[in-house]
Amino acid sequence: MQQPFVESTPGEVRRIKEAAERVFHNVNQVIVGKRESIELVLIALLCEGHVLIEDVPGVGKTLLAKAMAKSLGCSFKRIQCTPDLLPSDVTGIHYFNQRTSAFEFRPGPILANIVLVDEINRAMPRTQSSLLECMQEQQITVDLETVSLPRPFMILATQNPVELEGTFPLPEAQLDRFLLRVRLGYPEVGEEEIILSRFQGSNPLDELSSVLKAEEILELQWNCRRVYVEQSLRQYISALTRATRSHERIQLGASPRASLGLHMASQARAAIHGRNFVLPDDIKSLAVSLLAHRFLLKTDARMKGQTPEDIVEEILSLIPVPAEEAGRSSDSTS
Amino acid sequence: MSLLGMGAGYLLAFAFNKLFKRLRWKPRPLLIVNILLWATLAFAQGGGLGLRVWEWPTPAFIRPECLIAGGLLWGLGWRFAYTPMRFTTLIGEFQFGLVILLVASFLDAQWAAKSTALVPATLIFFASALSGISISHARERNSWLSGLSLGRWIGFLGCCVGMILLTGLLIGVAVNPALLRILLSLLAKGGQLLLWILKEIFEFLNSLIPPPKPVELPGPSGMGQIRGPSEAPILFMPDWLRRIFRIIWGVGGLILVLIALWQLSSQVFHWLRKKLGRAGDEEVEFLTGAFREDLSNWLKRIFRALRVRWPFKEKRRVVPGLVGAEAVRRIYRHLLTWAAESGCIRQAWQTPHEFLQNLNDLLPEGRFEFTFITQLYVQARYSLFIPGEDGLRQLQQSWERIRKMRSSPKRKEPPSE
Repeated sequence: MQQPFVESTPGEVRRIKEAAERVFHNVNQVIVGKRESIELVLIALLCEGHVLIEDVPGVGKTLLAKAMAKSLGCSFKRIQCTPDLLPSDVTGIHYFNQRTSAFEFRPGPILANIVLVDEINRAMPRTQSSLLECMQEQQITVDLETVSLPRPFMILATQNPVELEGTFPLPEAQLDRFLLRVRLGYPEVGEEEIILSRFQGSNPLDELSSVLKAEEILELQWNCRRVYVEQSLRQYISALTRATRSHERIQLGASPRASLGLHMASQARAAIHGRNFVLPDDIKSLAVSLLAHRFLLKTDARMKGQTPEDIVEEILSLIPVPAEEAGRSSDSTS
Repeated sequence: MSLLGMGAGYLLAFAFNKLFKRLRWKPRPLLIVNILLWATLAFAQGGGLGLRVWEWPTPAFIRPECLIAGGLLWGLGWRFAYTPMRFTTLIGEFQFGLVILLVASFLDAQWAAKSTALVPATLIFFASALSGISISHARERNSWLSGLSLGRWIGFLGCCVGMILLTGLLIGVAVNPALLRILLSLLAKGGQLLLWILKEIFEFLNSLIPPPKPVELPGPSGMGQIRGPSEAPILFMPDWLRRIFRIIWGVGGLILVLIALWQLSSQVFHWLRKKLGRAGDEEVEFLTGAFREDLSNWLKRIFRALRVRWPFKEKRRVVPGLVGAEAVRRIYRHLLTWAAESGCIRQAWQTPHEFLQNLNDLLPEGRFEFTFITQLYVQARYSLFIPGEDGLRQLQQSWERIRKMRSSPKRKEPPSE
């Protein structure tokens, strides 16, 4: 029987906010600044989504992933992607145990709560494809045997966008499975000095302790899903994703999975900000990180140097936000 | 006297009951005193209930109707005394009074009563209603009388009163029997011309159809005796049935006219409400709701007195435009309109929080008020939150403060897209 839908209470949302603050504080011991990036990773965690951390080398992609994993008191595994990595190295294999004279399953690193897939675009496409099932369905199939993954489950993948030698671009199907693409960027003025002083004696990552338990995360995820989204905001989300499908410079628009993702991510952002209802600001602030990696630009647009981020910004400036207008109310989003 | 006398009854009922309200009398003594007062007034005017009660200009007119109308007006005056003197309520009462006035005019015309008191009664009604509304508005301290729209409101009031007086004067001067005769004769000539044109058209059409061939009729021997229709009526309707049908027809017609009047005044007030809403931030109740509510309350009271259970389902009364979240949205709309008039237009892609920055730039001293209104608006608009009375009061006060500040807003260019 379906459980009746009840909106999350302010108390539940307050607990999410407090938990988020604990994680921010903990990760900030290692990562200087970058609150927005940490927030995006946390949003993905609350939505049971996966994150693709993409940036130039040396800005702290792996460090962020490791700091997040350590802050969450869950099992953590790392997959270092190389061109010779095989799907079975990810999922696990059945091997013959001579003692018991039977085939036994040896789980791969994917069977953990938090999985860091480092340099994902260095793995061969067939290895990358082995992640498709686990990212969407939270299960793996090995030799006709389906194994459920532990919950919560999150993949934190990193990739370097500038290096092309020896890399394999991620297929669209896989990119679509990443809820958010996070870009860290270089540190702000003054932040670099703090990094230098912080890492002078020892690595602060070693001293990091967990601040959130797996059960707690599951509860927070459930509460996030019950954050109220007003009808016109759903229409707004739908209008945004539809706009990517009909845009003249986009070859392949965002999927309904993107709409679902934007819906859930907005709920999580609202909860992290201590609200039990979503605002259009939540949707707008997530749109670039959530949509830009999901669609393909046409060749002429790429040749003109336009980026998916530019297109999303353009769409955001075209779609009216459902709010009152001077003299009359506006509920619908065309 | 007649109609003016009834009007006086209304005013007296109002005055007496205002006094009784202060004395906090219980319902039963109040009812008895009201009946006694009304009877005294009737005696004073007619010289005795059985003789010349509520003398109507036409002596042949049925007096009990006048008696009932007088009683009704007394009751309405009584009811009005217990109505809270708020601007929105008074606008509703104004609508209600206007309908009664229209009904009185209609009945006066239908029964050819030619009451001379109708014009002064109308003038008194409008003058008292408009002044009452202005006073109540001023008492609520959010009056046009104390704001920027002072000129607009005074102008509106002056125009209304002036127009009513002028119309009354014109009708009094210009409409005389000779003019009416000319108008009627012109109307008749026009009708005759129309009929002649129609007749010509039908004759022309008739000439296009070939005449039928003559048919030989059988001889008198082959035919039976043909009975004329008058000899054997198909349907005989007795007089009493015909009278009932006539009454039903009359009542039906009257109801249709009343509905038309009701709809007409509702539309007029809907338009007026929109206009007023733009000028200030007032919302008034639709006539339909007010009238229905009054009628059902009255019927309920009768049912209660008869100790009979009210047969219909109780519905919670929802005053359109005044429910928590809607009130917040309305004030935010006013804020947007005000900002747009000051040159700061919210772009369609801007969220309320993004627009808040523009508002703060427009009027930095209103930063706190803008933030408060925006916060309450986003809660009311995007969540299930229903603001309470305190919240609404604070919101109203914030909006009032902005309206006072706006007398000299720093005009800025609208935000670039």
